[in-house]
Amino acid sequence: MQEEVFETKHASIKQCELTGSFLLTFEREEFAFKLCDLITFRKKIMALNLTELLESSAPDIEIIHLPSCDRFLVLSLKEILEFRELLNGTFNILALNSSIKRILRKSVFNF
Amino acid sequence: MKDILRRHHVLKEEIVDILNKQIKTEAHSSAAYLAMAAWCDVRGYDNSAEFFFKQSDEERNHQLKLFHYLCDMECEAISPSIGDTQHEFGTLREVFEKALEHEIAVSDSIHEIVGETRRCNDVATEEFMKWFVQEQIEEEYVARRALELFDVLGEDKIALGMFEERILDIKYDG
Ligand SMILES: [Fe+2]
Repeated sequence: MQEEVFETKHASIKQCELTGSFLLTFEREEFAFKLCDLITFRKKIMALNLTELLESSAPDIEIIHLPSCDRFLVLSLKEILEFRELLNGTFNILALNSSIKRILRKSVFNF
Repeated sequence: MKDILRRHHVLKEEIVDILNKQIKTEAHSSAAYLAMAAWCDVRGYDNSAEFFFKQSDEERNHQLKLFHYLCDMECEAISPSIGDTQHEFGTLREVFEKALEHEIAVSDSIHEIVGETRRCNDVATEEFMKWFVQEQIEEEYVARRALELFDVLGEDKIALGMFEERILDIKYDG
């Protein structure tokens, strides 16, 4: 069963309860991540230096390798910003879900 | 919605980051002690060399302890890169001064981690770090005692010989 975690204008992330993995949909393409790979991916996207990208004479794109599925993403500046929104949103929802679950877990001991 | 985050990711990102930083620190310590061991060894300070070789092994073990903890928690453990370490020293005393300086810096960073675990309310990691807190008390004690030997004995040839005789006997039995 897949449930959407977060969505932006052109991308979305769903979580698959069966496999415990995450499905990133972007430009009609799908990328599957294990949680630890998704965390690494988010770190990479967050670590990009946008000011440097803008100031350099090279085209304003970044190429990101996804070793978990051995694919590359070529992202424009706008897309990087959208990915940041997507990944931050996703992790905020995941953290919120964890918090809710923690509160609900207390009922396990509710005798 | 299933809580995949909690199931697979026991530790908070801040904790993972700071533990990985500590892994790097321990790896650097291990390398630094190895350099000190080499300096002592080629100058004929065999016992001091042995002291630092052992110390280097211990730091490597500290590194692995942290590394396994991250792996066990299904978090990303980063095999560290190690920068340059100091290979040149003026005197044997200077080597031990550096060693103490090093241990104090390591203690500081261990205490910072404990502070961070409290801030994140990560009781499990705080408990895990207790071993390191204790370990640093011992390491600092030993390094301090070694330096005190110089204060007592002095630094002439005979004193250095006596220092060599005593260095491996320093133990913390607090
Ligand atoms: Fe250590």
